[in-house]
Formats: sequence, C-alpha cells, structure tokens
Amino acid sequence: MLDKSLSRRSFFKVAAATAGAVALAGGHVRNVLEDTAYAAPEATQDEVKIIHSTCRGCGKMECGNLITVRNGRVVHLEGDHRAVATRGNLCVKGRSATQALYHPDRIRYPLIRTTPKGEDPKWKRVSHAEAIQYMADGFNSVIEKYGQHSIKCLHGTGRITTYATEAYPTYLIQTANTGSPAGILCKGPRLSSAAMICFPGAHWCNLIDGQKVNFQWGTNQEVSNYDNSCRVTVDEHVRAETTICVGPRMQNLGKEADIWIDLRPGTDDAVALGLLHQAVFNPNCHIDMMFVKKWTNAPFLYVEDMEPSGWTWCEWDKIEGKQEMGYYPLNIRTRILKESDLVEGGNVRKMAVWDTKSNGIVFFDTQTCLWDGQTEYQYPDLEKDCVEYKGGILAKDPGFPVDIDPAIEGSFQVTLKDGRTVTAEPVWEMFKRHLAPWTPEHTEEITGVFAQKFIDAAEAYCEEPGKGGIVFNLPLEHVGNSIQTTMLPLILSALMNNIDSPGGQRGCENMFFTMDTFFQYHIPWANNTLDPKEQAKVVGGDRFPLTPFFQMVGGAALYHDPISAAEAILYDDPYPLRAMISNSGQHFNSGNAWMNWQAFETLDFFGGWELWHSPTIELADVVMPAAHFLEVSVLRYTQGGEGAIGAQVQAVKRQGDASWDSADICCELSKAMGYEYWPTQNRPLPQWPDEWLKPWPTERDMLNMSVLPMRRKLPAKIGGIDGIQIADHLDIAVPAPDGNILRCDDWDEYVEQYQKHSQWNLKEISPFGYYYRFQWGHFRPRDSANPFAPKVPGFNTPTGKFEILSTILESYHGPNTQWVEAPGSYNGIPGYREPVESPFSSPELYKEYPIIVTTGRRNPLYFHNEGRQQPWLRELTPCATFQIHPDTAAELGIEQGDWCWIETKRGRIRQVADLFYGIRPGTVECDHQWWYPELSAPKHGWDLSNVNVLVSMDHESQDPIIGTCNCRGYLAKIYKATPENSPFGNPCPCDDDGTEIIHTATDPRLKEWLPTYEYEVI
Amino acid sequence: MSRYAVITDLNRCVSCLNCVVACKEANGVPIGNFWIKILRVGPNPKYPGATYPDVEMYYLPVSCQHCERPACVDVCPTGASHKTENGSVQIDHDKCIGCQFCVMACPYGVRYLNVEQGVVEKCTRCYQKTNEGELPSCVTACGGSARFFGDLDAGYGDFRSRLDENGNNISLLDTSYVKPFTDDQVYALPDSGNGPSDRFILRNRVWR
Amino acid sequence: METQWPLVLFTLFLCLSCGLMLFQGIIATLGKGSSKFHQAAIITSAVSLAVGGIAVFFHLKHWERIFNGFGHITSGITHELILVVVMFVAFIAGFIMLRKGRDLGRVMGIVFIVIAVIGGFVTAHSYDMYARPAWNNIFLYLYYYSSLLLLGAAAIWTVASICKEPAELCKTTAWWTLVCALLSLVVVIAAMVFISNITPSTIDGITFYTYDPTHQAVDPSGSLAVGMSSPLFWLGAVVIGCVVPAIVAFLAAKKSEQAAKPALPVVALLCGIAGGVCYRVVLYMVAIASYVYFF
Repeated sequence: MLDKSLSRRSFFKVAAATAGAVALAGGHVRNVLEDTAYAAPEATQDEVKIIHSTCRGCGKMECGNLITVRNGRVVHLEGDHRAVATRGNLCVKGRSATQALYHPDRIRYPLIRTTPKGEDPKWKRVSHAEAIQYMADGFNSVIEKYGQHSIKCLHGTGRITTYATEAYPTYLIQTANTGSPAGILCKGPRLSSAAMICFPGAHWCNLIDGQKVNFQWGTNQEVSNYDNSCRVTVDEHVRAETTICVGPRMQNLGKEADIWIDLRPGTDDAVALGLLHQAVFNPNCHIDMMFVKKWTNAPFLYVEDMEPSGWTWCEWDKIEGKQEMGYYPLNIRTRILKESDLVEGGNVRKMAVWDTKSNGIVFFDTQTCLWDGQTEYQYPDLEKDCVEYKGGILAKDPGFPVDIDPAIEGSFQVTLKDGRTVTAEPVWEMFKRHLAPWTPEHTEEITGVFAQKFIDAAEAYCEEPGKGGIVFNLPLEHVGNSIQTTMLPLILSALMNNIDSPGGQRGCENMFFTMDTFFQYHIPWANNTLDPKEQAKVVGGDRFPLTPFFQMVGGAALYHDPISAAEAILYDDPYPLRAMISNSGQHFNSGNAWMNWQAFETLDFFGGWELWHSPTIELADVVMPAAHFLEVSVLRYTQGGEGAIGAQVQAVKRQGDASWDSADICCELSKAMGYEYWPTQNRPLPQWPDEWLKPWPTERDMLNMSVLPMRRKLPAKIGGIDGIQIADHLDIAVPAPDGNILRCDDWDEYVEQYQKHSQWNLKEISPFGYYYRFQWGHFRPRDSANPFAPKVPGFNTPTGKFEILSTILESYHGPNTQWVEAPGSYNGIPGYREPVESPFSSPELYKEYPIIVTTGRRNPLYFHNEGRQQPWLRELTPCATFQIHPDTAAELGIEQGDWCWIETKRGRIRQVADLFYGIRPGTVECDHQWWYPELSAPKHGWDLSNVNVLVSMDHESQDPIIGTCNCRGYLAKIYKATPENSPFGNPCPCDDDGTEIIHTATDPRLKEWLPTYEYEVI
Repeated sequence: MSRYAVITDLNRCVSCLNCVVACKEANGVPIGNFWIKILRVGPNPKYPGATYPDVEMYYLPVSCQHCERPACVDVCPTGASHKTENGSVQIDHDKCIGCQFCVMACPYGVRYLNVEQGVVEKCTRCYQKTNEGELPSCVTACGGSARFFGDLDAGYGDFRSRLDENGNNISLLDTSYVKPFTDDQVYALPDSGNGPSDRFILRNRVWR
Repeated sequence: METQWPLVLFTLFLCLSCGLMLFQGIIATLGKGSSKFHQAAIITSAVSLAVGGIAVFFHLKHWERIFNGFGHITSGITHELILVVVMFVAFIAGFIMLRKGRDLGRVMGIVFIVIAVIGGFVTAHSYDMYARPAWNNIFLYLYYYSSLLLLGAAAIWTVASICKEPAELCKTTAWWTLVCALLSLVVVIAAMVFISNITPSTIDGITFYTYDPTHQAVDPSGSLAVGMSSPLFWLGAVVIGCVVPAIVAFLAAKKSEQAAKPALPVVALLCGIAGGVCYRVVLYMVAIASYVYFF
C-alpha cells in the first residue's frame, strides 16, 4: 500500500499527478483477468493463473509483463500496459521466452567434464551437492596454491540469476579480479566516465517524461530495448520536435530522424567536439550559463604554470567519494587554483573562482560544497521554485546562495604563495581553446559528415536549455577512447542543463543510493572488505590505475581488463591466474576471441553456471544448471532512467536441478568453500535486523532482504536511534516529495501488492521524484550511521561539481603523470583519438585492408549471443549477415546473399552479404556474437562467424584509461567465399565434419528445438 | 458487411518483428511459415541521382490483404478459401485439399502450406480474437504501436491499437501517437483488381 | 517458384490425352482408322489421363477430400475435374461403340475434337493467374495448345504405326507431327522471349528481410529472365522437345515406310514428352510472383 507517512503538502495537486497509483490504492483494483487482453481459458477445469511479473528476455529492460500459466505450464507472455516504464512493451525475445524455458537443449542438471579441455567435454551428470563440492574443492585448491587473486570472474549479462557472481568472489574470496569483462566494453566505460565527472549512469535518459529533441547517439533502442523500451522510444521520438540520430548506418528508427549524423565509425569523439564547438561558439546556441557557473567546474581558475597539488579522495570509510560498491582512494593532483596554492596553510579543498561582482577571488570548498560566506545548504524552495511535473518535482534554479557572479572568461594575474605571479584562467577558457579547432569544416574532414549537419544539429539541440538528454550507447566505447568519448556527450548535455532534467540524463535509481545494490542483487554484503592495496592488484591495474576505483563504481563497471587477464593466465604475468568462475560469460565477448579461448583452455579450474551449452562453458570443469527467469523471483528496478520498480515473480517450478544462483549456488558454494555468505566480516550495515545475522541465507531470506528498506518497522537500533527513524532516511524508505512511500513487510506482501498495482513509478514513491537531484543533495552519498546529516547539493566528484575538466583524468592521465596521457585531452578536458587502424592513422595497412569494419548492429531477435536456439528467433535471421554498400559490393564482385570472408590481420570469418544503400561506401557493419548451437561441442562454431575473431588483443589499440578493447572501426578486406577458398569446398560455414550450419527458416533442425515438457515439475 | 482492415503507420514501424512472433504464438504458425513478414524497403536514393547519405527507407509489414475480390478464393476448388461476412478471407481447414493453387494465385505470397496438416494457412486476422471484439495479436504486440485495426467503412476513427496506460485503446486519430496524415499519404499494396484491404500511412517518403 | 512435379506430369499427360483425342477425332471425322487403331488410341488416351490423374494425387495433401473439388465453380481445378470426368465418359462411350463394332463416326469425332479443344483451354486457364505474370498471358494458352498438338500428333502417329495402320495414315500423322513440332518451336521460343521481356511490378529498390539470407534477394528459384538462359529451355524444350520431333517427323513424312514403323514416332513422342517436361519446369522457374515481395 502507498502509505501517507508524511502529511501531503498542500502545494501539490498530487491527486492529478499520481492518479494511477492513488486510484488503485484507493481500493479500485480490477481483477487481473479482466485487465488482460488475453482470453480466459475455455476449458473450465484448467487451472489458469495470470501473474504480473517482469521480463528478463533481454539483459536490459524491465518490461512489466503478464505471464499466463495454465496447469503449471507457462503458455503465454504479454506486455503489461500499466507498466509505467514500458507501456505494455514486450519484445520478441520476451515473447519467445517459453521456447527457452522448455528448450530441449537447456542445461538442467549439474555436469562434470570427463575429457581433456578442448575436446567435447562428454558431460557426466552429478548431483547438486556433488557439483557444489567439486567446485568448492577446485577453487580452494587453486587459492591454496596461488593465492586469492588467482581467481577471475567471467560474467555476461545476468539473468536473475544474480549479480552476486560478479561481486561474490571479491567479497568472499577477496580476489581483485572481479566483475564482468563484458562490462569493460558495454556500459562500464559510460558508468566509469560519468562517475568521474558527475554520477554513474548519467547516460541513461528518462524518455517517458518526453523530450523536445530526441537525440539518439549510437543507439538502436527501438530494437535493443536497451533501458528505454521500443514503445517508449518510438512514442517519444514521434512526439519530439526534432530528432537527431548519430550512427554510421541508417537505423530502424534512424530512418525517421530529422538530422542524421552519418559519421565514419570511430569518430564519435570528433562529432561530440564538433557539436560542442557549435554550442560554445555559434550565436544561435544558448548554453545555460547559470548551470555552467554554478554546477560545473568551468569557472574554477586554472594555472598551467604551477605544480599540481591535491588530496586523497574516496578514502576508506570516508563518506565523500564513496561509490556504490565502496571506496578506493584516488590521489587528486590538479592545477586548479586552490587556497593552498595561494597562502601557506590554505585549504587544498578550497578552489578559486574570479567573482566579477567583487572583482576578486572567491573560494568554493569542494569538501563541504559551500561557497565562501555560505553557512547553510541551499535547496530550492518548494513553494517558490518548484512545480510538479510528470509526478516529480521540478525546481528552477534559485541562483547562487551568495552574492557572486563567477567569471568564466578572461585571464587573471594571481600571486602564488611562493611569490610568483602567474596567469590564471577559468577552466571555461581552456575548454573554449580546446574546442576552437573543431569547426564544422574540420569536423567534416575527420568524421566525413557534412559540415552543415553539425550546425543544424547543434542549433536544434542548443536553441534553448532543457530540450532533453542525449541517449548514447556502446559505439562510443568501442574505438579505443571509451572514457573520453563517453564524457563528451554528457558535457554537451550538461551545458544545456539536461542533467537530471525531464527527459534528461536521469541516471538510474541505485547509482545515487535510492536503493542499495546489495539488497537488490543479494550480493554478500561484506562490502568494503577488500583492502585497497589488494584491490590495486587487479590484473591490468599497473597499466590502468583507475580500474580499482571503477570497480567501486558498481554495475557493469565491475570489470577488469580482459587482455591483461588473458596474459596473466597464459604467462603468469604479473601473477598466475589459474581459475575462473563464470555466470553465462563468453570468451568471445571481448578482445581477441581466440586468445581468450586458448587462455581459458589452460585454466586449472573453471566452474560456472549456464542455461545453455554455449561454447565457453564447454571449457569448464563443472557447470551448474541456471534457472530460467520464469523460474525465479527477484526485485526489479529499471536499470535505466525510466524510474520504475517492480517484481519478477517465479511463474513455474524449476526444471530438473536448475538453480537460482544467489541462494542455490553462490551461497552454497561459499559454505562448501568455508566462507560465510553474510555477514562475512561481522560488519553489519546498520539497518540489518539481528535475526538475519546468519551466515548462509535461504532463498526466502534473500527475497525478504531485497524489500527490507520497505519494512514498516525495523527492529534494529543503531546508536540509540530507532530503526523506523533510520529507515526513513535510507534508500527507498525515503518517501517521495509528497510523502508517498512504498511499504511492505516481506517479499510475499510485496508481490501481492505488485499483482494489484503493476510497476510503481519511483517518482511517486521515492526521492527519485525530484528532478535536478544535485540541487537537493541526492547525488552525494550519505552516512548511513548518521541519517540526520544534511544532504549535500552537488555532485559526487572531487570538486563537487559537474567536471568539464575531469580532475581524476588530469590526476592520472594528464600531462606528466606516471601513466599515459589521455590522447587528445587538454589537462583533463576530454579529447579526440583517431582509431588505431584507419585510412589516416595507418595508410599502409589501409592499402591492403581497405574496408572499415563496424559491428554491434542490433537485431531485435537476439540479445548478443543469445536466442540462436529459439526457433521463433532463429528462423527470422538464421545466420550471420553483414551490411555493405552496393557500390562497394560491386567493386568486390559481391552480390546479395553471398557468403563472404571478412579478414583482418588477426583472423577471418564468414558472413552473408546484405547490400544496403544506407551504409557509407567502404564501410561494413558485421553482425556480432554469432555461434551455431547446432554444431558440435566444444566450439559450436563460435569461430566461424564471430566478429571478435577479427579484433585485436594488443594494448596499443585499447582505451588508454581502462583498457576497453578496440571492437569497431578497424580495417579489413572482404572477398567472396568460394568452394576453392573455403573448408570442405563449401562457402557456407560447416562443422568439423562438414555439416552445414542452419541458414534457412525451413531447416528441419529448427523444429527439433521446439519446447519439450519432459522436464516439467508441476 | 464491414471492411475490417489493418492500417500501419509506417513512420512508426521499426521492424521490431513483434508482429511476426506474436502471430506465430497466437496462431501456432509452423516454423518456417510466416503469416506476416516485414520487408525492408530500401534504403533507396531520396531523389534521382542521390547517393549516400541521402537515402530513405521504410519497413513494410505484409500479411494476407483480405482482398475484396480475392484471387485465392477464385482458384480454390473446394470453397475452403472463402470470404466472410466481415470482409475477411478465411480458410476452412476441413475442406482444403491442399492443392496450393491459392498459394500460387496470391499476388502477395502470404499463403503457406502447413506440411503437417496438409492444408494451406494464412493470416486470419486472429478471428479467434477479433470475433470477440479484441484486436489481432500483430496489433496489440506491435512494438512501435504502428498497427491499428478497424473497419474501413466506419472511417479512421474506428481504428484502434494497443492499450495506453489507462487501459484505453489508442486511436489512429490521436495525434499524440499518430502524426497527422492526409489521404494521399495512405497507400495500399499494388492492386491487380483484387482490392487489397490493408492500408499503410507513409509520410515524407516515396511509396515504392 | 519451386517445380511442382505432380502438376508438371498432370498437365503433360492431360495435353497428351487431349491431343490424342483431338487427332483421333479428326481421323474419326475423316472416317479413317481401323477399330483396333481407335480402340488403342482411346486406351492410350485414357491411360495417359489416368497417369496424369494419379500424378496429381501426389500433389494434393488431402486427396481423400477430392470430391470437395467440385465445390467451387470458378476454380480451374474444378474445371479440370469436370473435364477429366467428361473425357472418361467420352472414352467409355467411344470404346463401347467400337467394341460393339460401330465406327466412332463424325459425331463422336466432333465430340472428341470439341472436348480436346476445351481441354487445352481448361489446362491453361487453371494456371492463368495475375499473381504469376509469366503465366498470365496468351502464350500460356498457346503453349498448352502447342503442347497438346505436338504430343497428340506424335502419339497418334505412334499408335497408328504400332497398330500397323496404312502407311498413308502414318505418313499423314507424321506430317501433322512435323507441323505441330514446328508450331511448337515457334510458340515455345516466342513465349519465352515474351516472358523474359515482362517487366514485373517489383517494388523499386526493395531489399528483403530474408528468411534465408544466403539466397539472392529475388525469387531464389527463378526469375522472369531465367528461362532464356536455361539449358533446360534451349536443349530440353527447344532442341529435344521441338527440333528433334520435327526432324524425325520430316524424315518420316518424306518416306512412308519409315512413317509406318514405330521407331521414329516413338522417338518423336518421347522427345515431345521430354521437351514438354522441360518447358513446364522452366515455366515454374519463371513463375515469380507479380509483386516480388518474398520468395
């Protein structure tokens, strides 16, 4: 129920704003059967249930759905139109979920291999207990021999199933090599770079709130449903005044874009700089100067002619800088002018701006986030400054809390404490200088996009502040400059005051502590227990010094460099990495797939859990059967910016010995290995009830834990403060602006409420209801032991500001640091890096390999490597294809439907040509992540068409800051596959015995994959 | 007699393929058969002589057009294929001898032999649903909310799509979902005198 | 479109049967041919029709429901069914007459001719559908008639020679065969030239979401132009199907003793059948849909 724990403020006409929720809470709850378009059963003796749940057919969208269960069998899924984040969306992957659930080839029993690695494992079925013990012994023996860091994680997109796997080895085994290497090239860079300059997750926009400009950059959300569903994306695209699409090929929804920035693959950073140039220099662009002056570090004075100095940030157990998963201290060293640079004994945290009103320096204390002369935090006045908007609170900025007007232009002479007089200039001046070369003409030269398009796009987007955020995704991360490239759109958006605005860079609920990830994902909550000195030992940490910090950021940012990891496995460098724990991870999702395959083959021990006999798991020693999402209950938040909370509700019993990995695998494995799952270090978080202080929770315990912050009454007493009071200040227990709050005492009650209500809009029940949460202090971590401490407005960055100049970048990858300087950057202001292989950077190579390869085009049927066994999906695109401009194809003698070799200096694969006028001549777009489950173990044809056979595994082409592999924008040559140049004389890829892959919808093997009910447990 | 039809706003269609899979599920369409398919039309030059990037594209969902004068019904020897009261073309499984002349005679290639049952099948516009006043699966499932079902004789106002958050069907005339369109932006598939019933809205682009 | 073998055989043997009927009718009308010859011709015709009929059962997925096939009068199959019934009635009537020692006579001859002419039309009409531009034209009718004529002429010649009919009749039928083969040659080539020049109403620049991406984005089993480039057409339908029968018939037509021996007519008939099969297969190759959406 939606309790009114606080009196409703008369100011808000809440009734209208939250009509849906209130009306339902008011008792008008319709029968779920009446609500659904799906027909009621005809046979009355059938037992039919319709369960409100949440889809997990893909990795990344929380589509509210209705599951029809007839006589204990899932027979139908459909979208729930009341789901606020998804508007009834359910994509083909979700729609086909029953074909995964009941697939004949699902792994349903624990298996142990009987043959050497590299061969068909000839799996032997064992009991659950045997398999757990086998895995525990395997890992323990490796730890005993080689130490805690000898175990690494491999993690795909979790299938709820759990993210415990990502974190479990760190928190229990204490290995630094945690996380999901997939995260290093998907979402991880975005989270990391945003954590550096504002808040992690800022790339996510809340489309449900509408946008004046729908700005889609390197996305295909309408088919990927990546954090904004297809329905919402199309709805809001149609409603927007102007639509801008950035991508090298004409996309599904991109066909409707008003402005298509058709860049050369790998030049996203240049595009961003070209747009920023317009925003700053084009008189028709109108930046929000109040935001820039008040909330960014643009006015901070910078002295190039000065030694950098600083402090340690994000220190152990200090609240400031704390990230979602904990702390990792960073040595901030910046040339931003500080009080300590000017006077002896000055505060290093006080940064200088030039106040034009007093014509002198004014300091901003970056630790307390107070200006000189400011004593109390400034919050917008609910009565004066705020309006209700789409269920949330929208405040206009009340202006500076003290009477100043910081200069952002000009240069100023200042005398340092050593007596030198130096020139100081606002960061903004440097920013302008950095952008000056990026004229439309120059940007056109680099990107291949007509100059006028930059002017048009910028004038549309920057006509006035607040037109909406920029949705940007993977392509910006894949060309060896992932961190800098993903900072740039955020800066553009920020200049236009779209950070956490309606339709802006809204981010995700748990990135700013509305909900604790540890609750949500049942992660063993011995967080903060890995000593930073140990965390620093993560493979690749020497080369990428920020990695351990990013491992604290959370989400997919729990990654390590897979190239360094493969080297550690193969060469014991810097230390032996001998075991791997995997949850649906694939060796071919990052870097050179062959190098990973060879490395994993040599591991002493590899255990994991999986739904399928995918190639990588065929290298394992033991595999546990993972439960399908229709067999698992779990709390579900929208990962992205739409801001909804709901539940995934177990619809049917698990088949065979299928296990929910949180409780049945991770927890049991920890017990068998001799670790307590929770609390391991006897450091309970304050809100934990005593009765839960037990080492090995049950599934029920875990589910109840996930809704703990919603409890009406908490038993814990911390420091004499009653649990209820604490709860009111933590997590989702903080009510919405109008006092609405979601309350339940346990998981069952939560599910019961969800059945009646469907997804809750977080705006209506939590602090998520505020827009511009940096104004309200919801973007900086709070002290759970001191719930009454004031909330600090600003960002969780070293300067407390949105950092146009990233002080972290400056400190670690600026000029003259110990590590490589971020290419193209300017003292921490992000810049452009030409792809390592390109017509410009490697003209010799270009002669032999004259085609630019990009990849990652979304096919609605497949989530990366998934879905290839589901007949409804596979029949619609039975094999790997690549798009090529017909003129290029004609030059190469390639026709529609030809199998072609795509070859780089690292390897070659075959895909089928699709002639497509919507792609730049000389560029091809290859399908990603293909393997062929119809082919034999262990490889299942992963090397035949998988695009990551083509990519590099060298350090040079990696992102220099975190090590993201160079997955797009490299060079290849393409030629027709013929009987002469193909194995078995067959241009079509074949198994080792010459069996062809499935390449047509009429292949009889597809029918063998239809559901089987043999394993049902009713 | 009414003229039930599906109108697709092609500017909203993003080829999410939901119509295809939802159709398969709702109607038990065999693997390898498709009662509805999505074509990618283009990209083609925007104007004669235009080259990349001045190209345009749309997706075209094609299923049985439930023609006014259906060729398939003409060639059917048994009367299995027939036109019903509401204007739709249906196949009586019990009468079909599986001669597949209707498959050959259909100009749109949307009829398939169900090999197991030995009868020809095609889109029924989900008569099991539409007869009960519900919408066809391809309409309710449509990811882009591009498809609308209604009676052409009753005008565009009769055409409805998926439920909005309040549980009301979206109307084709609701401009917050469907941008305004004119009659000359409403197209049908090429007509050989058979009179296809489905309509397609396409703005700012050449219908090909 | 994929070749529908049962239908290829059905139309082939239907044409053969009708052709036999036609020439038998002409001979009967002229008052020529022995009773044995006419009986043999009717039996050959009937057997041919039966073979075609049996072939068609392999096409139908529910042949047990064949009697539903009279259910819809606009359908070509219904017409064919009626035709088959009428033909069998005519055969039985003719055969009974002959067994009773009577001649077929003028009336029956004309009945046979009329049935055969209608038969040719019905055969073609079943496939005349606007969805298949390659079929939806006058050349489909011309072809089936030419096929009917050539097969009928060669068959009646064969029957005449086997039945040791007078050399003059054999020679006449050889002449008929020659004329029909030449006619066939003209029709077949003209038809394929016509077909390959049809402009299908393809959507301009369409690319497909393919269900077998490895196929070309056109109808994978053929296109309108494929016939002209197919050896099946030139070697099968033209050379074997028309030129060889014409040469054979020409040789026989000049020498009565050759015309009266079964060797040449059998060659002409077998070649005519082979050519008929080839051309019909080519007809499926070019039978793409009028709006090239899918394959």
